[in-house]
Amino acid sequence: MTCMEAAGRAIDHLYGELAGSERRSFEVHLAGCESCRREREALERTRRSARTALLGPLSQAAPGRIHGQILKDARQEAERLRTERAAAPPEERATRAAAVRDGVSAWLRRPWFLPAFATVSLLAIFFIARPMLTDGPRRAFEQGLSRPAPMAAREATAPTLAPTVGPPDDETARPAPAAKRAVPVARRRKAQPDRDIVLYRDQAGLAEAKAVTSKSDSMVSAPAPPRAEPRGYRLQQPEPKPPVSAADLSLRLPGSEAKSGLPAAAPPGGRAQLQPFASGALPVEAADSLAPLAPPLAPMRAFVRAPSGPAASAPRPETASAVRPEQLPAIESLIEKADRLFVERRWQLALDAYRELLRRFPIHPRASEWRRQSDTAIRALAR
Amino acid sequence: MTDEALMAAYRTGDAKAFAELLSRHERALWNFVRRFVADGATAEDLLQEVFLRVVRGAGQWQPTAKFSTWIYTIARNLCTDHARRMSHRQTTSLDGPALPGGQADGSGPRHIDGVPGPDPGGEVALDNREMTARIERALAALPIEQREVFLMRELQDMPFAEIAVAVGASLPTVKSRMRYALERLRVALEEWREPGPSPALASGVEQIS
Repeated sequence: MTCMEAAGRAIDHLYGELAGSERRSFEVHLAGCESCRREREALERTRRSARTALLGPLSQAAPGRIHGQILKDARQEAERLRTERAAAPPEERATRAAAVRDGVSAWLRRPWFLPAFATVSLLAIFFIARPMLTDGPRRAFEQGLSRPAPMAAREATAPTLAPTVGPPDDETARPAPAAKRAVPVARRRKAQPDRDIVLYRDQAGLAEAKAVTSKSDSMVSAPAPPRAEPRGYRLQQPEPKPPVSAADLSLRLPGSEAKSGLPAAAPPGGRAQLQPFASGALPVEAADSLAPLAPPLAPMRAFVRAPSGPAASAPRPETASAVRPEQLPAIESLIEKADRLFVERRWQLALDAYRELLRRFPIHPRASEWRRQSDTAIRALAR
Repeated sequence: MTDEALMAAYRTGDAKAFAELLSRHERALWNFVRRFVADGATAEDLLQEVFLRVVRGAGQWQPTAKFSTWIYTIARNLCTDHARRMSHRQTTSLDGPALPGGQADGSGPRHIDGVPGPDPGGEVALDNREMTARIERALAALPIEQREVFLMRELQDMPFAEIAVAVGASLPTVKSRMRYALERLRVALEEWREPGPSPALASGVEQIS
């Protein structure tokens, strides 16, 4: 929030008419801006003085003379209202009922009434039924109805580094790279676009993704297929099936199929699994940095695609940075926490919180604000 | 019981409901009216007229309308009409000299000194009295549009949206009028406090340093 915006909201804030995030960002601005804070305090003082003058002991009661006169008028009128009511209630009620009847039939007679009513009803049905339609496949998936073939079955045909999460279905329709073609890949699970989310893309994420890729390269001695660097992660919800750990994958290198049927090590409970997108890369456990986000993130997946790989049809991270609606409360509470720390002038904690937010959501609409407030916190710490 | 429920009861002939409404709003409305009309007798007439209109309009009043918005709409219409009529004539100012031929520089007794009010006594009272006089003067100097917005907000705690309905202006307009009114009062108070730093300011400085 700029000083100008803050000035425009000062009156609303003074009278308690600023709510929610607007109030918060106003208070955050005030905490970091001395001149706006002074301005606000001056307004508050003026208001207090004015109220003391207007409502304090020196304010005046209405003169008693007119009090009696007004009450006398009111009683007379009340009497008149009562007698009027007593004189004509049944008749009045009858006419009222008739008016309602006439009103309803008049509506029904209008030429536009029936089509309009039908349209409204259809819309209502659509909106009520929509969640069921869109949630249906998702629920079925969650219950394991469309889970891919068991790992053992897949590995029988694919002694390979086939990723547990396959590329989207459209990849099979495109000419596959030579190395990939040599490897028969069993059924690949379809990506679930509506469950996918691009959570963030930033330099830290890129660096970690590179680390993941180089790690994969060092572990894989088989001819690596030509692939581009992944730019981030696909976060996968832990599935009921045993997930693939690095140890398991090392067993599945060419020539060691014999051990591939062994059950994989159980993942850390509830921890999201990170799986590089490009085929051939190794799944790696979720970065610790994401662990604090795990509870809200668990039901979703974040992924980033290879920039020019064959699989480039899903939402591109550059454009798709949306966060799923059910994520919002979690993010909101993080932002709120940071703002609160800032307002309370716990600079170090606020700075850490904003840095964390910036690291996770660098393209959030409020990111520039967080940067400004981080700078303010840094300056305050330097003092 | 809300104002609206009381009004609905009054419509059925319950005079007690109106007595309750009167006791709730009388004081604030009196303080509202007084700041548009310098002459006490005229102010009394106007207040009575406001309630008389409420009484007569009870039959037409719709339960969907907020009572406070309605009664303040009536009051501000009566007051602004009166103030406009008066602006063409000579009026008696509360700050004017109370005695015929009194000093114009304000050193003699003034009308406002004769305005009755409970006296809490002591220095605080004197300070309050002076501040009140300051604020009254600044209020009287405000344009009518700003004054009515300020008074509705402070006397009745009306939300800005309701004030906008009562005065027939847009919400941003109402807010900016409120802001101007506060700024002018602030200037008036700061001039008064100029000689020495105010306690509030001093404590603020301490807090900052």
